Amino acid sequence: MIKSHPYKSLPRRQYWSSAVAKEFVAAEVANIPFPLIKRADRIVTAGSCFAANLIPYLEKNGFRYLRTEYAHSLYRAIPAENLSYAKFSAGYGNIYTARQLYQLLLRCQGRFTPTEDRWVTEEGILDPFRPGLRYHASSEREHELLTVNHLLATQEAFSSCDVLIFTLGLTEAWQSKIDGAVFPACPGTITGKFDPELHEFKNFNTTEVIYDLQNFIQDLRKINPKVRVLLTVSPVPLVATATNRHVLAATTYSKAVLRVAAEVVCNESENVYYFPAYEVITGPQAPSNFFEADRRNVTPDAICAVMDAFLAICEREDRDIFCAEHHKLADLTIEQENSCMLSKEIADLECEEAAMDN
Amino acid sequence: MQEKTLLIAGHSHVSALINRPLKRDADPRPYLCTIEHSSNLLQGLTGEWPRTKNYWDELVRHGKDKIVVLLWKGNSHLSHYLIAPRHPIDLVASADQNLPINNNAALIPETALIELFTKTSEIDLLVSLVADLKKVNSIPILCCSPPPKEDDGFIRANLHREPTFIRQCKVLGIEPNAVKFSPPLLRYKLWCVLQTTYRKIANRLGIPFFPAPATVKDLNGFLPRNMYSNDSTHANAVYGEIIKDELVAFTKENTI
Repeated sequence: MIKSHPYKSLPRRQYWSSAVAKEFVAAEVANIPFPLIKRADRIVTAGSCFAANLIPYLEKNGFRYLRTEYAHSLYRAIPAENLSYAKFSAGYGNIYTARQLYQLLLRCQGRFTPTEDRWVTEEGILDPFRPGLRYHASSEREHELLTVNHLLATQEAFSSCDVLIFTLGLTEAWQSKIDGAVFPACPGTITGKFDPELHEFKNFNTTEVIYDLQNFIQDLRKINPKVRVLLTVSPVPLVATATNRHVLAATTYSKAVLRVAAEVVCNESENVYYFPAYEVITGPQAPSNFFEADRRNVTPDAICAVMDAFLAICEREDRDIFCAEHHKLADLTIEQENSCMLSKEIADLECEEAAMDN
Repeated sequence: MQEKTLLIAGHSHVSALINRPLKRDADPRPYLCTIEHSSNLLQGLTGEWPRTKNYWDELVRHGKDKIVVLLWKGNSHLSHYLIAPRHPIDLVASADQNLPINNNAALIPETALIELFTKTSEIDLLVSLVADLKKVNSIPILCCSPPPKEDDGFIRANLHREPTFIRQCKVLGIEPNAVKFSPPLLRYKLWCVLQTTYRKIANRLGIPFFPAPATVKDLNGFLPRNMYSNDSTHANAVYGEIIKDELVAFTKENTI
């Protein structure tokens, strides 16, 4: 007699032998109702450096990537912002921890003002929360105004998006001993000065990450009730650990915490989903060429594999919305270039005439 | 001790300081002239436009053992922004940081503007010129450019007389009367940033920077009306006379 048991009628994708050992389909790993993202959705992303990889794929495929803070088109002649400040929806750069994300939202709403909110140096006023900014402030007033503008743009992105994708990167962080403000990088690494009296190491545990994610989502929904949240975990290992562990063990801890936290938050919240970028790149099925020779940085092949899986579960039709927005932007750019060209013509002509008069 | 001669040279703003009219059909080759001034210390180098290698070579030749006052470029604030961009911009100029801000404009970091103005200042040419001047025992000074004009009516009337402006508007499909200028306050802030840029360039090159004296600014920092030349961007001989007096005083005070 053939015995019956719960595994008997499981679908193909729930068996390792049929879903991983052979015929691995990355899109099947996701447990998300189709479509993950609709054509008209306005998408905002935030997170670690891995999160920035998504954006060109979304834009190339005609999805509406929302940008509320961007370089003025007149500044294309000079180098773009450093690091990831110009890549995301607003200029917040890489956000590695859930606490940093939650504090960013609180700062946008004026509910948290870090005590250590500027570093006054010979080269100008530096922003501890955007330490790599190439175009930093020159004066305290400018720093305050630039920060207000940045937080307003971030708030606009958070409040007007349909989908927010957050890539969890790290559990390790450096924070202010005064008020717990989390810095994106240890003071003194990118810029600023490390002060053991002011700065301390923090390695978040699962409960803390869950708490921060849940608080973030709860407060986000107050300003954007219908927003859908998509969580991913970055597959990129730690560059270094400030614990006394081996960096590989510290990475495993960090990713495990983030992965569990993401799962718990998805299970306990409505309209919050997990997309398995981490599994696609780090699972045993992944080819060795998904990581560069340093076995830390992911390769374009890996990102392609993730994005193929991602796009396979998104709505894909009707390029009209994208095209209309794209053309609007192009028109604006041409008009701005015209104003600049005319200004230059006038100045050049007057210089020539003035020079002829001497 | 014998005082050093000041040789004034550079781009178009020299026109306010070297009051020696040159007709359009005159010989355009570089020409060393004496500038009338009570100090009897001033000379100027006029010549071809646009400036060529020959002009700068002649400047180095004539600049030997002299103080060379360089009026370098000086219109970047207007050549980018005289006409208002459709999406308005504003900034905080560190030289005058308490001025009002347009909350509806994109706030541009001053450091970005400094990078833009440095890029458009032919900095490589300036670096090599200063190095060549130092080799001939010359003392280069980087000189301010004139503050902007506040009067939009004057600028508009002047541009409407300019056939090139009208023609260019046509090419770009812009109605000349509809051309909107950047607000005067923005032009002033941009000029402040340009002067900050020059100060930084001078520091980098290890040469003095001669800032715009208070006597060439009105109460709001603009070029006084009696110092307007007949265009939107340059100053006249009244401005030039004050700058010459102040330059001579500056070199004495700073024992240059």
